Amino acid sequence: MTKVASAHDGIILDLLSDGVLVQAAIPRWPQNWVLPGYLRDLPVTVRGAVSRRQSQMDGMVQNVGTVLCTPSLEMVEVSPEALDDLFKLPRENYLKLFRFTTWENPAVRIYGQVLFIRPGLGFFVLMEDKAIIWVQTSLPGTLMPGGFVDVVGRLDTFDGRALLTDAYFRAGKPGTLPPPWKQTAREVNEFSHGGTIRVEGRLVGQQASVSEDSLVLENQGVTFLARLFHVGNVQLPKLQPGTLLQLSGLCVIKRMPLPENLPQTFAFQLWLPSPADVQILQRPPWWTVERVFILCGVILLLGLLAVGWAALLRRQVARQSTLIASQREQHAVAEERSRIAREFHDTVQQQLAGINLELETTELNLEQSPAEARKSVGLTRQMIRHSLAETRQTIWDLRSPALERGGLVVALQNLVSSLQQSSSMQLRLQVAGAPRRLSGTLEHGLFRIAQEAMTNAIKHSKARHCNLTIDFAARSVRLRVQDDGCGFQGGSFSGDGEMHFGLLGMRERANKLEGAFDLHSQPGQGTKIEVTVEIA
Amino acid sequence: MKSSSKIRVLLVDDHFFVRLGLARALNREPDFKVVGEAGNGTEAIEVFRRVKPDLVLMDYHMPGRDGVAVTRALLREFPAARVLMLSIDEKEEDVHRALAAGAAGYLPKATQREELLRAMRTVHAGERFLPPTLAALLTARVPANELTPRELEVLELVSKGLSTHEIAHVLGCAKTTVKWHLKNIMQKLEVSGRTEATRAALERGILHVE
Repeated sequence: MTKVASAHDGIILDLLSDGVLVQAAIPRWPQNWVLPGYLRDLPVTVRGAVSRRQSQMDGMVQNVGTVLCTPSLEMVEVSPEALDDLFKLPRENYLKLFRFTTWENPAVRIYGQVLFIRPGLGFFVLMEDKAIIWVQTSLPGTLMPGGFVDVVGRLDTFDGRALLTDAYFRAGKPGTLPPPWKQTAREVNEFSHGGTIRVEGRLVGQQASVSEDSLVLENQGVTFLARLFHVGNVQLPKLQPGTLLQLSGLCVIKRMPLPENLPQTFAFQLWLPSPADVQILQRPPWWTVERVFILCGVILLLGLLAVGWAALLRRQVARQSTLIASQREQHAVAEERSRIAREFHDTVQQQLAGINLELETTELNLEQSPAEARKSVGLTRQMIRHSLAETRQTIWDLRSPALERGGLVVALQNLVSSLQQSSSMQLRLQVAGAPRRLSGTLEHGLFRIAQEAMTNAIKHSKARHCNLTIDFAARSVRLRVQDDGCGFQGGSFSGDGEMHFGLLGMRERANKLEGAFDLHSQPGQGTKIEVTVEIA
Repeated sequence: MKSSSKIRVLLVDDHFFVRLGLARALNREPDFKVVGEAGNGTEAIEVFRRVKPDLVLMDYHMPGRDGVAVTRALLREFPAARVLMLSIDEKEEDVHRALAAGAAGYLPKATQREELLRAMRTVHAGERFLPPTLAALLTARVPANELTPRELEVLELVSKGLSTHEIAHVLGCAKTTVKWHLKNIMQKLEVSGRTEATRAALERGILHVE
């Protein structure tokens, strides 16, 4: 055989058979495989279908050669004698290889253990003097990593290193490889080339193509590439960037061809024999930069939302509070207005009607009886005075704050202590039963009766003691004002007009509360006023 | 004139000013005598039983039972009783109610003394008495204005300032029902809004300031 060349998707072998050139065509040769140059200059037997190649010249068809169509390289057999001759060369060790002048590409023989196989491309061999050499060949054959191999090839150099091309080999006995040499990425150097090392790295990226998986890794500022070539169905699982990995494989220093799409900036490559040589040391932390950004974004968004929401809420609350306040104010105004209207309707108007009647009587009396008329005028004035006082109280001091806030008992305590300041009479308040808040109208009415009764007692009774008792029963409340003063003849219009008006006023008030009014008084025996109101 | 021929009067009014004024005005007349006073409805019936007056001057507005209710109760027990209603107000609905309850007449409290005496004498004589102005009001009163008890309830709550929602809650019915009632109320009162309805109801005496 004289020459090997590639043609289209196959290869063509030029053979010289008894001085005649015969070509053997082998189709479907993988594109990245090296050519089977080891066949050169070896006597071979090729089997295949014969086809004549013809050329048409001047209308004549001539036979210009013979082409053998050979389905595969298996059909090309090297003569065993020639091979035996080949392997008669002495085995060299690595250093001795440099005796040769490499530009002649002399054939040399080496022996060692297979380190790493790349089908169709070649394999690394660990020689007996621990040197590592690349053997380039596409010779099919069963090699196992660790197994011994006898190789004959043409010596060449690449990047100052010896390598064998167009190599022929024979597999020897099986063996085991030394354990990988643990190195850090920084420690990897020229001497690591071809060595089996174990190195750690954090995954930066992962890329998968039809032919291989590539992992870009980083350790101590050194970026390197780990590759797993697809032989059969081996494949790496998808790994999370940031994962800390421990990788064992063959270290290859720079300049070896890289897969597509990757820059030539890797410190070294690591060729992985199997997926098992990739071990996960540590899952990536959940906090990746991307996640931190997303999280920050989410937090920011939530924060903005919360702020916005709070602002909205505050505005709404403010609006509601204003509304409630204005409603409350409106309600208070309306209530006050209706109270004044009620008082006006119930009291002032009625009292004016009464006064009007009395004035008409006065008018009649003026002509008929001046004495009666004078009495009438006096009564009218008294009525007006009473009405005035009552109206004033109605309009100005209807609701004492003590009554409003503290309730009836507190208001009565205040009343007693304030009256006590201007009176030598001994005033006392007694609270019985279960004190509690009553309706505003009731508390106010009872308070006014107590106030009127005690004022009356101080003004008119000449008593030494005056007791105010408030008794909260389950279904009723009773107010009693009792003095030990002079008393009076009950039920008569005679006597002190003012006091009488006061009594009638109290009775009217009790009546308004739908309560029972009791007055006990005899001259010299004091006065007792009792108001009892049933509570529904 | 002999005292036996005097018209014996019972005064029912929760305001002693009015009772006082009336008593003094009547007692100086030769043909009237005040035989009793009462400050509320219960007292009124008690005193009536005791003194059997010829005529009752009854106040319209009183705490507890009002004049209309007392009149009704009184007439049930004493069908021959003569009641003349006195009121601080002059509202068509009040007049209508008083007369419907069996009062023989209705007078505003601001009435002149002479007219009051004339009214009392007329009523005592077995006739009805109504001042011309009130008679006119009563004639003008449209019977269709009569609100149903439910509508009255709604109107009362409206006057207290409750919203439709609150009224529905208080009455335990749907908001749409309340709105329906409101529509009828406004139609009957010939008004277009809630506030107007309240004002109209107060003016005509359908509602009273409490």
